[in-house]
Amino acid sequence: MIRSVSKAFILAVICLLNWSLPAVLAEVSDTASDFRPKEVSANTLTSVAAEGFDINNKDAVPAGVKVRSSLELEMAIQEYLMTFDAYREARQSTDPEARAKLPKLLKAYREAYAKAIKMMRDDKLIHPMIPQNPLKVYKEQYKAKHGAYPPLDKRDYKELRKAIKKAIKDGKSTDEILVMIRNRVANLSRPAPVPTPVPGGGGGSGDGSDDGDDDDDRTGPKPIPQPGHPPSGGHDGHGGHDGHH
Amino acid sequence: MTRRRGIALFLVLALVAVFVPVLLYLSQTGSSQVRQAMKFHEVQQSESVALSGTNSGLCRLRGNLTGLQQLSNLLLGDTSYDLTLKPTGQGVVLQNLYHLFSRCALGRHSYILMSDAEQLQPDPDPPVMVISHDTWNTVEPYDINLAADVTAMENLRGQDLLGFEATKNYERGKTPAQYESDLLAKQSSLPQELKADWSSIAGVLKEEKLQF
Repeated sequence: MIRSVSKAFILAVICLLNWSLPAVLAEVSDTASDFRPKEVSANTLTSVAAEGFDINNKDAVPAGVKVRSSLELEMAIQEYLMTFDAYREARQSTDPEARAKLPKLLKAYREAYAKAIKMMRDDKLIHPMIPQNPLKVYKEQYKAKHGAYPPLDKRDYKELRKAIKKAIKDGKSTDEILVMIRNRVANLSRPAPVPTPVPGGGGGSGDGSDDGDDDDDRTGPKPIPQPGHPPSGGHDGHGGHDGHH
Repeated sequence: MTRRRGIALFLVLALVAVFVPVLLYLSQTGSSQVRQAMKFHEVQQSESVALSGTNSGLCRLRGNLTGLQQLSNLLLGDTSYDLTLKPTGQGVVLQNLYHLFSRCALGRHSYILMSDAEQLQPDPDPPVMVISHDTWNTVEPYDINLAADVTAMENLRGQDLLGFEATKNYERGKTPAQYESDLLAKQSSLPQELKADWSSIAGVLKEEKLQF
C-alpha cells in the first residue's frame, strides 16, 4: 500500500512540474544584464570606409566631398522646412478642410526631406553613422575650393523664414512660395569674394582636432567680410550664436 | 495495533513531507505570474516615460535651449528619467542639429529612445521651429551620460539607418507599377489577418511611394 501511495505522489509531483516549470524557469532566466553591444559589423565598417568616411575619426572630412552651389542646397532645405510648416499648420488647424489635406502635406514633406537628404548624402556631407555637421564639412571644402567661406548669412535666413511664414498664413500655394524662395535665395547668394584657389589649399580639414559640436563656429576661423555686409555682431554669416542666445 | 499506528504515522509524515514543498512550490508559481505581470507593467511604464522624456527634450529645444544638456533624475509623476541633448553640429541653413537621448529604467528594464532634431533660428522669438525626423530605441542598459555608450548607440542606429537607406533607394528606383506588383507578390507570406486587405494596403503604399 505504501508503495502504491508513493507512486501516486511521485506521479502527481511530475505532473505538477510539467505544468508549472515553464513559468518558474522563465522568471529565473530573466536576470539583469549589463551587456551593451558596442561592435559594428565588419560589413558596415567596410562599406563606411569604401564611401570615404572614417568611423574611428568621425570629425575627419570624408574623401571626395562635392561642393555644389549653396543655392541648390539652401533651396532643397528651405523646401522641406516650408512643407513641414504647412503640414504643422494643417495639423494644428480645427478646420476640417485644412485637416483633410494632411496626408498630401505629409507626403510632400517626406518627399522634400528625402530629396534634401539624398542631395547631402550624394555630396558626402552627411552619413548615417556620423553625427551630423554638414555645414562644417561644406564650409571647409568650399574654402579649399574657392579660397573663401560660402556666403551664408543668418539674418538673411531669418528674413526668409519670416517671408515663408507670412506666405503660408496668406494662403499662397506651394508653387508660389517655392518661386518666392527661389527668387529670394538667388538674390541672397553672392559669389565668393576671392574666387582664385588657395595654392596647395587643403582647407585645414580632417585634422581630427574638432570635437564635432556646434561650439566650433564660435571659435572657428573668422569669415572673410562679404561686400555690403560689415562683420558686425550677430551677423557673422557663419553660424555665430550670439543672435539668439 | 502498534504496526497500524506506525503505518498511519508514516503516512501522515509522508503527506506532510510531500505536500509542504508542493504547496510552497505552488505559491511560488502564483507569485511568479504576478511578478511577470509586474514586469510587463514596468516595461510599459518605462517606455511611456522615455517617450514623454523625448517630448520634453523637444519642448526644451522649442524654448530655445541650446548646447549640451545632461539632465538626470527628471521626474514624471513618481518615475524618474534621464535626458541628454547632444549638439552634433550645424545644418546648411544655420540650424542647430541635435541628438536627443531619453532613458527610463524601472526594475530590471531599461528603455532608451534616441532622436535627431533640427532647431531653427528663433523667428523672431521662441518657440522656435524644431523638426525631429526619426526615433530609434534600444533596451540595452546603456548610460546616456557616457560618451562611449553614446557613440556605441550612434553607431548601432547608423547601421539601422543604412538598412533604411537601402529600402528607400529600392523604393525610389522602382516605378509605381513595379513597386505595387513587388508588394502584391509578398501576399502569400503574410499572416492570415493581413492577406485579405493586402491589395488595398499595397494601393495606399503605392500612392505614398517616394517619387523623384
